[in-house]
Amino acid sequence: MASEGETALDNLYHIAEKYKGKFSLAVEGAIPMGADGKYCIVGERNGHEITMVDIMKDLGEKAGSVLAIGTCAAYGGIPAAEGGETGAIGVMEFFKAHGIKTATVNIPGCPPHPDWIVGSIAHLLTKGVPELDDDGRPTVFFGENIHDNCPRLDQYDAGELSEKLSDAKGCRMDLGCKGPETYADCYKRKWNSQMNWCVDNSVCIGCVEPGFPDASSPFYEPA
Amino acid sequence: MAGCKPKAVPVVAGKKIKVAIDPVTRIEGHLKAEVEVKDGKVVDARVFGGMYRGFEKILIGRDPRDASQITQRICGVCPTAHATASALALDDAFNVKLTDNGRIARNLILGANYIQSHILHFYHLAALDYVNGPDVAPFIPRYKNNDVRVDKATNDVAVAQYLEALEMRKICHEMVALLGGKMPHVQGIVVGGTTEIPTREALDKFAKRFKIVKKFVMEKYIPIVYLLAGPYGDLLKTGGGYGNCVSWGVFPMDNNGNMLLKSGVYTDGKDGPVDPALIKEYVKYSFFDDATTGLNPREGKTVPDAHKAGAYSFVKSPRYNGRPHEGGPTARMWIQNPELSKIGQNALGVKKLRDIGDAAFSILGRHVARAEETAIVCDAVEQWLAEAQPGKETFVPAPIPESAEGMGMTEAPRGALLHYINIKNKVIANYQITSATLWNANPMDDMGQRGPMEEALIGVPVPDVENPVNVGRLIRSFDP
Repeated sequence: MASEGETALDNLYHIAEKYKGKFSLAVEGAIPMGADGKYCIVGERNGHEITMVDIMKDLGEKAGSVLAIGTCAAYGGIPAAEGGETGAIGVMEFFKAHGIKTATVNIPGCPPHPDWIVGSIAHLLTKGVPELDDDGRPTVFFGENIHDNCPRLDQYDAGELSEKLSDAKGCRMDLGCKGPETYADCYKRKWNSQMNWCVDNSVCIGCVEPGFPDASSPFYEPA
Repeated sequence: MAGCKPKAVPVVAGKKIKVAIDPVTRIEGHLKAEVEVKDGKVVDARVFGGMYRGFEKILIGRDPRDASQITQRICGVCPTAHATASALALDDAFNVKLTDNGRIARNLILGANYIQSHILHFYHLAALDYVNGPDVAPFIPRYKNNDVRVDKATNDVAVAQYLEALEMRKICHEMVALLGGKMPHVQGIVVGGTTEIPTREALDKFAKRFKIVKKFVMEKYIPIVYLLAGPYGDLLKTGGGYGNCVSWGVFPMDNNGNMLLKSGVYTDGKDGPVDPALIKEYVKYSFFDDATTGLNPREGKTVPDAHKAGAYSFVKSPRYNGRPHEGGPTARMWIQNPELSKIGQNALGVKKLRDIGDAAFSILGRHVARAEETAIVCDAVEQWLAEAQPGKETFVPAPIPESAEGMGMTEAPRGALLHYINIKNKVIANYQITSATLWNANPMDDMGQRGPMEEALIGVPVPDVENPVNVGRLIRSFDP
């Protein structure tokens, strides 16, 4: 984005008004509810600070649909983990608390795969809101269990388990892999032009799940 | 309109005008700048960091190994640097020594990310301060008078490179993923080394991609940075600030502490070695409890106070020996003082970086240092590719210590990065992070000294308060 300052924020608000009910709002990051929203200042208009809370109320209502991109925007993520003090929450929880009814598509992941983002946008533009699972994620990307579909499943069935992180072969179960509790298509989509993926390199840490990171921490085994 | 307050105020000689830019865009995070302009120049400046997430607190009580994953999520641009700093702190605490192949694999992952980060910064964050994109979003809206001085031919070349640079960054990410699993947020960097032993095939894929990126760096990125020195030559003379800098050193070349880019401190014209005990973080003007001011990271505390009177930033103010210092490529290149590239030597008429003198600490000087550093890292990546041994162990397992502490000091592409861990009962008892943007974009300290970015803003020309182009140029030169 070339612009900055009030020009940038004004433009955002102007577009939201002009295309009210028709535009898709892409949200990155959790919404910190604590300290009157002061933990995240987005910018200022007419001399007043606009917090993440403010802008989510202002633009969330006007949007035709919302893409909550990344685990923080979808479920709160790391800022919402135990020990966090900012009262961070995800978009759906925020909307529920504020009575905002805008359709929301969660695209979790830390980071979310670019195909998941672009694919969801394409679906919204051409066919509307995609089919979602109970956690608000498109089933087309998040409908399959990683362990059940893992290319290393045969090795698991044969009892071949990796003993240390740099073992090239073996199922990563004993190293803390969260594949069994994680639903995403990383096992076939892979990352960065199919160069690699977490399980071939190390372990899955369950970054697309609503409970991330607390539900999958500690990430590594054995203790 | 430009986010300026007040709007359309005529410039009157001797009168101070306040100009605010919020948000400062094309950076990593949330930042506001407020400057006072008098007679066309900045006479006072404040930089506000408007975000707090609480990573240091969230780490407490967790398995120490989780830190290398969680801290990467601080920054999507430089997760590899946080992984590196965290792994170094854990290596120290777990008392583990890396294999040569583990050290080299870490360097290749971080090196590929350095090249990506510098290309990202120049083309996709900074370049729109110097050239105009096409008249479509996201290149519009922009300042009405944005002081773009290049001719159409140069502008067209820059826009073509802007797009090509996207492809280069994608290729760099592929290089990181080959050894690190994926990018952003690598799985591969852990305490004890890296998780994936490189195969011949992976190294060949890495090398094939690297060749394309290096060609772009040498034939396009570096030349266009020097091309800007023509029409924007005055920007080599403004935005200096304190001229103090720190580097913790990065890219270990052996297991004896020799670094590709060495550590050092430069204060008030004198070079010195780094003593981590001299680092202290001040919070008088930060939204943190006053009782926690002036602490070394080893004793560091994170107690936010979002409504503290007089405070204006969530950024703490780290000081080295009580003085503000900047970090980043300029700091590293100043401390290293390498021979410039042939293009650089021809353009500037000098041989080594320090020969350009004060110009190193300037708006354009920071871009020159960043580009020169990219060439140095490219040469080193070539060397590490030759040294990496397919099939040789990269990982040394080590048990979690009952209690221990560890310090990890490295350099993110944007500057000095420190992670400190204290382990008790096999879990994290304290974790402190002093990142590059803390060094650069901090507010005033308890002693009344401005942060380096604030100080560097003093004297920056703002001839037109409706279009304060140079304020953004200065801030972005630091890569905050």
